Amino acid sequence: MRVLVVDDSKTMRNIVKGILGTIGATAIEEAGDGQDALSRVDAFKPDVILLDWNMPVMDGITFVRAYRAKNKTTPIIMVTTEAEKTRVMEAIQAGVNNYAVKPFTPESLSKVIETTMAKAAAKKAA
Amino acid sequence: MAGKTEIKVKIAADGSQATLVAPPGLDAALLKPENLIFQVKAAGVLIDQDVERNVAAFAAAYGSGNSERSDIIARSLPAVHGEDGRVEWQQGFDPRPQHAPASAERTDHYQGQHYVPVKTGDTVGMAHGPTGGTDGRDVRSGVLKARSGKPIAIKFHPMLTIDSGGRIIAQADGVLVLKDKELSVTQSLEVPGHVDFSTGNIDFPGSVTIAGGVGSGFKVTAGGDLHIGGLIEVAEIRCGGDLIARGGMAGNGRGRFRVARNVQVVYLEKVVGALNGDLIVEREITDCKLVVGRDLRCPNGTILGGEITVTGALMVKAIGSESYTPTVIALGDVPLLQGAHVKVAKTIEQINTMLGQFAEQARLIKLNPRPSPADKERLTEIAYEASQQNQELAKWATKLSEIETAVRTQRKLDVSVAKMIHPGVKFYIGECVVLFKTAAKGPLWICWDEQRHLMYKTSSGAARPLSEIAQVSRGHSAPAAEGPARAAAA
Repeated sequence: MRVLVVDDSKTMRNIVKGILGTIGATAIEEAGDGQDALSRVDAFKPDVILLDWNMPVMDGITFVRAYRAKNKTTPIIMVTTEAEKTRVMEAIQAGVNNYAVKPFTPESLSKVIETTMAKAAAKKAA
Repeated sequence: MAGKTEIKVKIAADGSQATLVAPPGLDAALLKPENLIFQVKAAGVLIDQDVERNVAAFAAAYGSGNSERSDIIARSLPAVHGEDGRVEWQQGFDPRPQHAPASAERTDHYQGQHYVPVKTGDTVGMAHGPTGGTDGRDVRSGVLKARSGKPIAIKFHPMLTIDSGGRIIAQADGVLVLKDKELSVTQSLEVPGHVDFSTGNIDFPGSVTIAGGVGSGFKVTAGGDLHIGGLIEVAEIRCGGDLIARGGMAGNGRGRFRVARNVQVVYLEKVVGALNGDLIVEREITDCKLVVGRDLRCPNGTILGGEITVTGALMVKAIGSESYTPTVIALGDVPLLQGAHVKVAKTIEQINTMLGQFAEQARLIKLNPRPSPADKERLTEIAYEASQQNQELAKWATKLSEIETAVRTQRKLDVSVAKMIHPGVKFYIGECVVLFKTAAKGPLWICWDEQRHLMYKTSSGAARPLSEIAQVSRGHSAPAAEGPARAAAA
């Protein structure tokens, strides 16, 4: 599984990388903001994108809109402190596939990733 | 009229030079450069700019022709012979015998290693192949053949490879050896004589065989087995495998050994040592401080004086002496494992303390009903760090459990004395102190019964309480587990 981790906090990226290491990620690419992620995503070809919402330069929701505008279907999981229902709905409408609210535990994030990947695989098979 | 001229062109037999000779009194017309060049060319000499210049100079120098003139006007271009192949050793990797430095610098000769240890991937030198050389030419333009250089006069064992850049790279850990014009890496070090100032200290990752002994003040460290052919003096021996000594070790209170597996030695005298495996001694053990991880077998010798801790069985001919030599033996103790137990238990305690701190930090953050994004991120960090520490905790808990199992299985009391336990001998067995005030004649065995009472048996009778032949008291700890032997064990 190839994962693009987009978060402006290096600590958070390291934590996510640590968790991904335990669930079989084979390649991990990091980006510090949405713009950085857009510049890397086509070359890296991730299987899933883990995305923070609040970042400098380009925030997560702007990235989602720009990425989906290119008809890209790679699953995106928003990993954020934004837990309000309106924000969640906004993200889903923009094209986010799943949502993990901070604070999360390694187990809860792993479960969200696995669920998302299973759904994506099922959709692909159908 | 060139045919009538007396100008001569002399060419050396090997073609290395051509000389123009003109007798005195020649007509100036004959000495025109073009005439001279014509003759030189007719003689077979290759004409180039140098020759033309030399001929012109010859003509000018002839002048009025009062005397004969003779000048070299052409020289051969000698061949440049190829260079022989060679190895340029990297600093510290030259395996050729070293000569003593001429300088009067202070040198620690104990530290001076006289062998070349290598590790996999080390570049030990550069292989420079032979060069072909450049052909020359004689004055007639004949080729002077250059001699090619000879190949490197060293064969390379497959444990060394040469990459495209000529780097000679070790493919194994060991010692670099150049013997009979072959360069190889041996994984066992052989010291043909004694370990002394001619060898310096030995520190080798593999097995070491020393034909002689080990001199006072020297250190020998072997990652694998260590064979020593002679006497070990006041030396420090560390060994990751078995230590097999064909002689004894006379430590004078300062000689030490630490061995990961078994030790076999002729005798031990005033030595401090610790080993994880069995200790087999052919003759006596005198005034030693030892920690033995498993069995001590000295069936033909005596343990005389000193403090010895034995985790497993003890088999000995005699203990102590008629002259009441204080000899202390601690049994049924597992000091090597107990040290590890303490260490692991401490690590677990530290992890638990850390987990407590994480829990407290999380509790304080959660007291805020509306935590900020930064709080939420910190809570994620805490959850992750706690998860990591819990994994560590599980690992160390398993280790602790393994050590406790090993302590239970290795702890035993099995003492077999063939001939005599002399007065003055003291055993520390668990919480009991057993002091022999009179001689106890062998063969006898000391063991626990099913109720863990201290018993002894002779060859003829049933088990009897040990208190019948020795003074047994409770509530003491074994001193042999402390001090230098424990330090060596650590």
